Amino acid sequence: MQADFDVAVIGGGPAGSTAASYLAAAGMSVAVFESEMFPRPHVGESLVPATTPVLLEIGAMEKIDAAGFPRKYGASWTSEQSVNVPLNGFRGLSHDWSAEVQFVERDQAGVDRDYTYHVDRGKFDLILLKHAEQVGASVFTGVRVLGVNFDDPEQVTVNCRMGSRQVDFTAKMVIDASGRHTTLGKQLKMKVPDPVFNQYAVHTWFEGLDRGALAPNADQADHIFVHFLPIKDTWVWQIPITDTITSVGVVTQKERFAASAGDREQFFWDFVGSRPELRDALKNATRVREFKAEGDYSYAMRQICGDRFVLIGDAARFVDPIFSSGVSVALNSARIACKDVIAAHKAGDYSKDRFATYETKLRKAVRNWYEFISIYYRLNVLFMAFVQDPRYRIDVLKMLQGDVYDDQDPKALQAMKDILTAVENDPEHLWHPYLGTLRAPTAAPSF
Amino acid sequence: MREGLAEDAVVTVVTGFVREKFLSGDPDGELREDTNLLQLGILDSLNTAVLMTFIRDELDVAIPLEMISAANFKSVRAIASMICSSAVATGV
Repeated sequence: MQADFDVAVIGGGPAGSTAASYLAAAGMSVAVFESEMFPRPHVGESLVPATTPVLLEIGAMEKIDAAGFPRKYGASWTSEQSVNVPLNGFRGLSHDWSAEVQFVERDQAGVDRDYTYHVDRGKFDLILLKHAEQVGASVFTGVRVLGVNFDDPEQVTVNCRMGSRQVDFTAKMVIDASGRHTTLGKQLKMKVPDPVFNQYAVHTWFEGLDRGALAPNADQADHIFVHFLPIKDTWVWQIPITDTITSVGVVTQKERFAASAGDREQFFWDFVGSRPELRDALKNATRVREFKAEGDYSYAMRQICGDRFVLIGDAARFVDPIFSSGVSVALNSARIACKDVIAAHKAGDYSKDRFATYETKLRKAVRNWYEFISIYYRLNVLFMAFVQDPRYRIDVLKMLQGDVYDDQDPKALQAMKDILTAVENDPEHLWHPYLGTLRAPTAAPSF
Repeated sequence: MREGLAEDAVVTVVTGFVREKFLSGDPDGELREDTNLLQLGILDSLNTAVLMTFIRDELDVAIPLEMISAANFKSVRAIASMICSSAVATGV
């Protein structure tokens, strides 16, 4: 019996639409099932340069370029420290401290430009989904996948809800790109909450924020800014969406958010208030969207592939937004997975082993991200020191560019781990009191 | 700058930096070479990172980050001593 499609893709976000573009270009019949009507708002607005080779490869870059998104040439971090010294007449001390990187400082394979973009995800995701359709994918929006039936050894059946009806479609295999809905992760009980990370984010858009006022140098004004708050494990993102609109989000531990009893507005201003110049700049701007909360987004899957299925993007793994990796993992996991999917299709064999290359590469890349993120939260002054140290700066930049899919172990990571261990073991180390509370287990995570 | 790195000269350079960067110029000249920088809160986690950058850029000495301990940073004299030892250890 002929299946309706070669591949069914659950989800039309960046992972799903990119996978559909690759597969359609390879001559396969592919259907994308997206539950929402596009355009729709979505978190995850700052890209890293590792998205560029993928966008070029699927032929979508021209459309992205034409959309007029703000260019992102680098990233900046700010912190403020004030100390009142009580003795001997020294004056109250305070200084601002910032660090920044620019992507131009390191060449990256497959990247033909010094910048990437910050994006309105509503617009960005729509461009990619329409592109997939133009390349030859069948795109169904307003159709929610309820589950997948794997009983038949020869094909899968995707059970969808369209309005008041349920409709089944068959395919030779399914790609789960359902993002944080984690459709197959839940159905097949593969999902495991992260034992360490449990952050929450509250975010919104402001119009008229004076980005230049917060930037140490004018040419950094359109960087993504990560503002440290003087509260452990807490930071604020500042992402330009257009010339006048800026996305701002507070990320902190879930308990702190829970303690605010769900009043997102109060929570947001309480936290932002710990950096007065940031709060003042925001108060002078106009909020143009509701506060949104994102939580429970740190998890992994016991399996990211199996007979006739593959998980990509957030549906496979998400850790933390701190290094803007989400959309890049979506696009690159789609790229790497589709190589295996196309080969499986040619061989007429969609068994789990066919996706082994994808699984190995993705687990390795995500493990590197995970350790990098863990070190950042565990001791972010160490991260700052590495960014500013010529011995390590370029290695850190490589990670920040999202360039983690080659086979090389990140050099900076081992050095950071060694120093972190030294700091943890030495109570006299000046950085010892600044160790954050998020602490990754010493054993590598099993996923 | 590594050759003939005399400890007294380093004390002078570091003192000048700490005064200017962390003490608003120290107009009353209160900073001494044995002033307890940690107890008085003049050095904290971020300041030490800034100071390490200065030591590397101005004095061309790369201090291993593991060495940012209380003993080594207690005073300007202690810092200078650590810098000179590091310069010797890493060779010229």
